[in-house]
Amino acid sequence: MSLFFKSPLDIEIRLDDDGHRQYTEIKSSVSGRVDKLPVYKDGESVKGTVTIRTREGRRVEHTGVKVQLMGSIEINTDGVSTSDFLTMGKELAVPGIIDHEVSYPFEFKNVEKQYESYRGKNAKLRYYVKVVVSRKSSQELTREKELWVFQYLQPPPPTDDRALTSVKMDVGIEECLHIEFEYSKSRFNLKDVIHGRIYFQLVRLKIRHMELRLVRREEVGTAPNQITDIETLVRYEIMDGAPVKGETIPIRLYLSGFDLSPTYSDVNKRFSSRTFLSLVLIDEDARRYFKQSEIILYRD
Amino acid sequence: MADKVASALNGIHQQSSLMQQCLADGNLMQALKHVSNFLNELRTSSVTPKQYYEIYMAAFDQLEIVSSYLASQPSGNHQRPFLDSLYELVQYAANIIPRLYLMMVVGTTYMQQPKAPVTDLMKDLIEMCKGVQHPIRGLFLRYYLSQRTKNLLPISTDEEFRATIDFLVSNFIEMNKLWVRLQHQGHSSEREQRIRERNELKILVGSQLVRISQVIDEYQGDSYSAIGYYRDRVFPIITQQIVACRDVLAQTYLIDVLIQIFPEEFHFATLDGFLAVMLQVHPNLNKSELVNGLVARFVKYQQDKAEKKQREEEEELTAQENETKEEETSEDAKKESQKDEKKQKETQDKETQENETPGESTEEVKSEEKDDKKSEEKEDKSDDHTEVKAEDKTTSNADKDHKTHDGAEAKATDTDEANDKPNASENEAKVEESSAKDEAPKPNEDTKPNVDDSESDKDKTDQQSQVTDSQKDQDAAASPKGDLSASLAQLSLTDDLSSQLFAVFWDFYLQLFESDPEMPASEHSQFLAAIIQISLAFDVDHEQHRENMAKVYEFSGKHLEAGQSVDILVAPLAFMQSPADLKNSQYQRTLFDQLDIPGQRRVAHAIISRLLTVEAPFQSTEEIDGVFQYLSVLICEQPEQTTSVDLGLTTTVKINDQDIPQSFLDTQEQLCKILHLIKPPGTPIDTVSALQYTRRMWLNKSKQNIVFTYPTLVETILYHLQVFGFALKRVPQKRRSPTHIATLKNQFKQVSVVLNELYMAHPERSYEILQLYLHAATVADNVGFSDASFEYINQALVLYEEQLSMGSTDNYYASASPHDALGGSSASYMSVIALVNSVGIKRSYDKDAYVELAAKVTHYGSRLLRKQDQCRAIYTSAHLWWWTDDYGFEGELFQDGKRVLECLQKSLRVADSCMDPYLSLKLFIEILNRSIIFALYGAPVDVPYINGLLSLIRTNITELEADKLNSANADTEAVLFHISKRIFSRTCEYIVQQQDDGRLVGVMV
Repeated sequence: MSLFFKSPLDIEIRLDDDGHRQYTEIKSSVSGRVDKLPVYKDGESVKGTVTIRTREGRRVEHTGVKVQLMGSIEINTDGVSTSDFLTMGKELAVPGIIDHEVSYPFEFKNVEKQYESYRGKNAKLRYYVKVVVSRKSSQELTREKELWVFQYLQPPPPTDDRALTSVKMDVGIEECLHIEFEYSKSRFNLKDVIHGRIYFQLVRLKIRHMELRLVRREEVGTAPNQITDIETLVRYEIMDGAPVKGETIPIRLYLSGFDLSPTYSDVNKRFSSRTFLSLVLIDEDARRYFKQSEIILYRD
Repeated sequence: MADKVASALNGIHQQSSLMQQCLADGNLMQALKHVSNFLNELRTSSVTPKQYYEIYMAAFDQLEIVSSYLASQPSGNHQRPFLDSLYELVQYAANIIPRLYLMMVVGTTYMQQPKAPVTDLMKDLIEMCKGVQHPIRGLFLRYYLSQRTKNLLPISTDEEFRATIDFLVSNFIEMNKLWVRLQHQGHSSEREQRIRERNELKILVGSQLVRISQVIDEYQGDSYSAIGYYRDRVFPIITQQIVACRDVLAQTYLIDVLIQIFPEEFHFATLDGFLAVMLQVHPNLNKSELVNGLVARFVKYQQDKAEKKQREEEEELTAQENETKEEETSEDAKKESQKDEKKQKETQDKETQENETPGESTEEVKSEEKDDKKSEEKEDKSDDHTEVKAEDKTTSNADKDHKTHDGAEAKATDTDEANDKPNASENEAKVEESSAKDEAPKPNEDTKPNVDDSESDKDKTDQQSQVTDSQKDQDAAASPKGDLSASLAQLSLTDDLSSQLFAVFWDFYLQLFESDPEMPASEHSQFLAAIIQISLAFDVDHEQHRENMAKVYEFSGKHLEAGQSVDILVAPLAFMQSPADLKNSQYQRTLFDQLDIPGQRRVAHAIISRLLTVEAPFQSTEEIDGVFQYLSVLICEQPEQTTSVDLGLTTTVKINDQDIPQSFLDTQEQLCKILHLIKPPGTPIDTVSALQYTRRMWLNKSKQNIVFTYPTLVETILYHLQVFGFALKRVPQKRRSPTHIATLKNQFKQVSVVLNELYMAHPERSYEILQLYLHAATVADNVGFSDASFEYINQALVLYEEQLSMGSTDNYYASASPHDALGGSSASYMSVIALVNSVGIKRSYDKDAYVELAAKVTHYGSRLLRKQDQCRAIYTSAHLWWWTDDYGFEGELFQDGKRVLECLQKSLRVADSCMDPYLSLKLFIEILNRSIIFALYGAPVDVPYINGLLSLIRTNITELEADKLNSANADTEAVLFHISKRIFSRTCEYIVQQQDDGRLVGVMV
């Protein structure tokens, strides 16, 4: 918009970073650009300053200036639909005229940020600070600044036994392959290491190699017109060559180096993003055999 | 295929140069990316192991660059060392092969740093290696790990040592699994190729065992016993693995490596286990070869030990002598010098060992690689690289073995000395030693009744080893010099064991016999041979040994097919020290009789060659019987008439129109050599009796072959008789013992009997027999037995008349030229000359008898067929009538000038009657020479006679020169004529020389 009509006002939003604000780099889904965004926690105040300058000494009459903290989910099913789950607003200035540079500090105290920011293929969950300068006749002038929210969870409650103890699974093709695998646990924080091992109990396939994959499965919408997007985030070869019966192959996968997001299930009943650990065997004829199991990722 | 290697190598070099640039710029992350790129080349599976090795070596070199770069980097902050984080970082590599190599580079570099979590790293690396299940890639990966960790394995504490051993053992196990699995890769039609490839790779696996042995050897913990640890912790795991893999190649190779790399003491300690393993291995395995390898080591060990003991005892003696002489203060210096001596010896030993044992496995690898024509320069280079490494390993290992061994021994003697010092006397020490020896056999006796019952016996050995263990422990606890007494205990342990070795092996063999009835017979005999060796090497007690042998022979007689027991019979020969060892072995004899003739011959040959090596004389007739009962097969052997002889494929010698193979002659020659060993203690007469005994009992079994052996026999007898005779002669006549004279006389008669026997059997060899007679006559004459001598001469004359006087020309010298005075002609002529020569030197005969004899011989000469033979025989006979004192004869010389002249005259007449003028001339010149000799001897051959001869010759020469052109075959005659003239001119020159000295004055030259 501003391309055609040069905005008469230059609005700048500065968030206080207190000198030790953590920033995270997020790949923009649109252009592959990397955005560097400040990181906020749940319950943290969002504090900053809005500075409005006029351009070329013009006077701008407005009907009020407000700042909003928005949390919204954008879903891209058939066209983009947005729903806000968080809206907080503050009046910065009563209607008047701006003819010189003004700064308005603002602060949203202890905002509850229910969800973690997310950028997926068809779903986005974003938080942003929005400044709106409303005008009487013409369109209101807005300016947004995105911030990134990390939802730090406490280590998972010990109520769920299965989540804590190791995960064991038997899989196989009759008379052909029988393996048993075991992961140390099924819940991992993002800096965790997946430990595990695979026992080969019957091998009649000529296996060429075996990979471990981390697959993100993003589901948007509800059952009838649900859209699922599957993206392989990590491929990690863990075995080369064909083992014989009785071999044990160790698994160790460091997670911290990969761009993973925590598991979100059913965020605001709009979308979910889950991560699966997939074990893929490739035989000499390039056939694949795989077994997936979900892992719960969280941030702590 | 070669393209693939080339492109892979190319890729490695490209990426590596990029990597080095990045490293130079300090951009480690980018550099690691390049490293990972070139490591991707190692993921290939389309090359042969050899080619893969090439790629591996290229990558290896590049990784070394990375490693040294990493090592030179600052170590990062305090909480999180640089290499620690890097170790985690490299694990993000998506592909497993580059990832693991990177982990190894970083991990092992990290291990070099102080305070690194070395054992954790080791555990982690070895665990993560499991991800590579591809045989070749896995093998090389693990080999890389072991190469990188070679000098980093921690053994400073007990836990570290354990961890290191675990690390090595599990790496070995996994490598072995991969190696075995390689066999089952690909199509079954490529089986042979797989085996070849696996052979190429076997050293990778073997090197792990070498590493283990080094570590076990190097570790110096408190109350740590290398042997004990090996026996309890390492050996069972390794052998279990070897048994479990059920692969012939792997079992053969690994067991062999196991035998070769660990010292003998270790094998003693684990013998039971080892043999148990041998019962479980693959049935197709050549077990006897492996067991023989072990036995060979034991035997060598025992021999070395014996030698060393001897040497040390000598040293000790000298040292003690010195000690008593010198002051206490100088002792230290002495010891040092002694140590130096030992060191010298050690180094010598080492050198010899290095020369001898370059490690079987490496040699094999080498030869294989040489065979490969494809191998490029590059490959050779890299191959050499590892070869050298491997060789170093084995040799250094061998050195170490040696060192520990020597060390233990040296310690032992030190303590001996320490014990002796207070007493300061040798005797005490000796007493101690002897008492120890007395005690040693006792355990044998205990075990004897149990020998058949394998289980109880085994229990017993177990108990014993336990007992010694506990003793060892006590010793270690009791004395401050823990390891010293421990090593002593180890020595005694082996001593105990050595006496039981036979029983242990024997039980093993019986079990094997039952469990594996399909084992090929050759293996059985190999086993039994090995067991015999063990028994011989370790059972000092001879009774025990004999029992053992009897057991083995009885068994083999019952169970082995005839003809399979050659090895069993040959095996003990290596330990035979004298002929006495062969007598009184009934089973041995039975076994021998079961053999087929070629087998018997092989055994007999082995006996002969051993006897000739040992050179121990025969002491008694029993010993002769003992040995010759085996040799009789050779005595009776007939020269084979096979097609190969007819076709000339085997070397033959023509004797009396018969082609006789060289090998047969060699055999007979060896038999003759054995005859020289017959030399019982006592007088020469005893020897002669023994020889005669041998002849009677054994040699005359084949009349055919006595012609080969009797000459030696007779000559040997004559030699001894001569020795005895001369001794007798020296005694004044009055004091000569009549019995001695009678014996001697009798023995001369015996010789005559022998010669007669030979003559009867082989009349066609009369000329040789004639010479034997003549020699016998000479010997008898020399020692003053004129009767015997005369008798021999008479025998010779009889023989001449019966066989030789007919003068068959088809004899050995038939081709000789009539012009050649020395070349001989017919057998009869040669015989006459021999007779003349022999008779002419007899001095002890009665004068009338001599004259008669001389006349007879001269007569023989004049009756020869050819003119030239007659002529030469007669002028030679002239010597019979004119003795000279050339032989130191002190009596009156028999000289009859008239007869001499008569002879010369006669020969001149014969020469003149020759049809060939050139031959006549030659004979004239010969007679001239003879005349000059007699003239110089002082015989009445006067100057006019010689002058007459000279002018006769000159006339002939002028005549012949005149008509030499007219002859048909002028060329050959010209040559003969020329030769004659030269001889004549030389004769003239000689005469001139003599005239200068005042002799032959008046001869007209």
